[in-house]
Amino acid sequence: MKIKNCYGCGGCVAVCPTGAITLRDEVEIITEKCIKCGMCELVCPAGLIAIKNER
Amino acid sequence: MKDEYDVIVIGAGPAGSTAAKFAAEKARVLVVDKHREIGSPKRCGEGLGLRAFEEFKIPLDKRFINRGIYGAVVYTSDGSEVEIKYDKISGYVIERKIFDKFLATEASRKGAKVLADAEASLLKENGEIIGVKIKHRGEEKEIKAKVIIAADGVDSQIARHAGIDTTINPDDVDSCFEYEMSGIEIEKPEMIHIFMGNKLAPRGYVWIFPKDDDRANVGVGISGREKRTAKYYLDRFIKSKPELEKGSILEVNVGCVPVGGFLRELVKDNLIVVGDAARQVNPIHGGGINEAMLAGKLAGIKAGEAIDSGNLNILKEYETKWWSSEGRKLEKILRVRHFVEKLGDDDMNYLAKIWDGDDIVKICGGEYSIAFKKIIKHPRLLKLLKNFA
Repeated sequence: MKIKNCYGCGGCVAVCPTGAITLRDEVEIITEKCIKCGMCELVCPAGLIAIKNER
Repeated sequence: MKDEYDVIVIGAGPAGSTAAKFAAEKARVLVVDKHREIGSPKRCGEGLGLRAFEEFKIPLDKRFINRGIYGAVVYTSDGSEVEIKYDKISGYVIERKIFDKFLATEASRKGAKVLADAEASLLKENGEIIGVKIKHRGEEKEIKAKVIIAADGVDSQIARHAGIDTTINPDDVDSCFEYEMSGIEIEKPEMIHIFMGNKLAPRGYVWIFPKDDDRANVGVGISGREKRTAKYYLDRFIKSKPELEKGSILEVNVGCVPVGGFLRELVKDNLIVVGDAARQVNPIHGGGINEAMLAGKLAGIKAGEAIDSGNLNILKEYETKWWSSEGRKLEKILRVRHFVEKLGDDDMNYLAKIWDGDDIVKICGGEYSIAFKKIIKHPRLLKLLKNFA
């Protein structure tokens, strides 16, 4: 899953406990390693991640 | 580009380029950065104290210096102000994109090879790191190296792949949103402006760092744990200030700053970690350029010595030296941050009346004894110190 309108700050990558998020070309991508803990959603400065609802 | 270097630095920010510059004195160095343009996009408020300019002999080059700053004004929620003003310039607001390119240029002048638009991952053989794989303009290439320096920022994956747990707790992240604004009114453009308050910016602050008389980097950093977004707090602040609201937005930037959760293990075999990747940031104000450059210098020197002598055990000295100098200071500052973040708005307003600018400067540098002695004289505030364990 790609994050829409992502600025690529990398905050979600830093807080992800399972390494499920990678940052390529300024877009974060969440993979199947996601455990839906919601840390990335909390930290995103622009509120672009709504992981619990979408997955 | 060769197939083999002594040292490969991943990430050309202030930590990486500084490490490369110092390592290049004794080693063959390659620096790769995944971005197409070094320094962009910036994730930074762009303030840099005089200390870094002196320590690293950074020239006062107009191409990356926007303006000199004489101090700071700190505002609390009831409108109290603490002014920290010096007779001389005490720091500069810089143009990070150009500054980062300048640092990379300096590294290349010392003989390091720099390559942008090159995404790196670790190259391993029998569990040992033997170099990096880079993807540059669609082509993959394997490059061997004896030492790898991970300077790949807050979202570092290199250290993680080397087996160092880099996961950071959202409590130790400042979630930031910023605009470069023009056509605004700044009352004292020779000062930086810091607005504190739990409603305004929970566990953080709003900043106005002037780049011109009518242009500034305006941003907010809040706790990574906060439910509402940094963007929400910044937009709300700007809306409440007509002198800002009438302005234009020239740039939108987003960032996450590690303000704690320092990486203990900075060296693993032949890999060393520097800068935001190692969480080397001042936990009180979130500034990290100077810290990154200090770490980069130390790491670069040790990497050079390790190559020169053929003894990779020297790399570990970077870790021990860091933790006995700058790292130790940052730990003290983190304790202060834990104290400050428990303050209510009333406490902050009160402290703004009993502390002067000098106290605040000292606290930001981890020297809190004098400022805390002032608290002892005020019974109302004594309970606050109980929180300082």
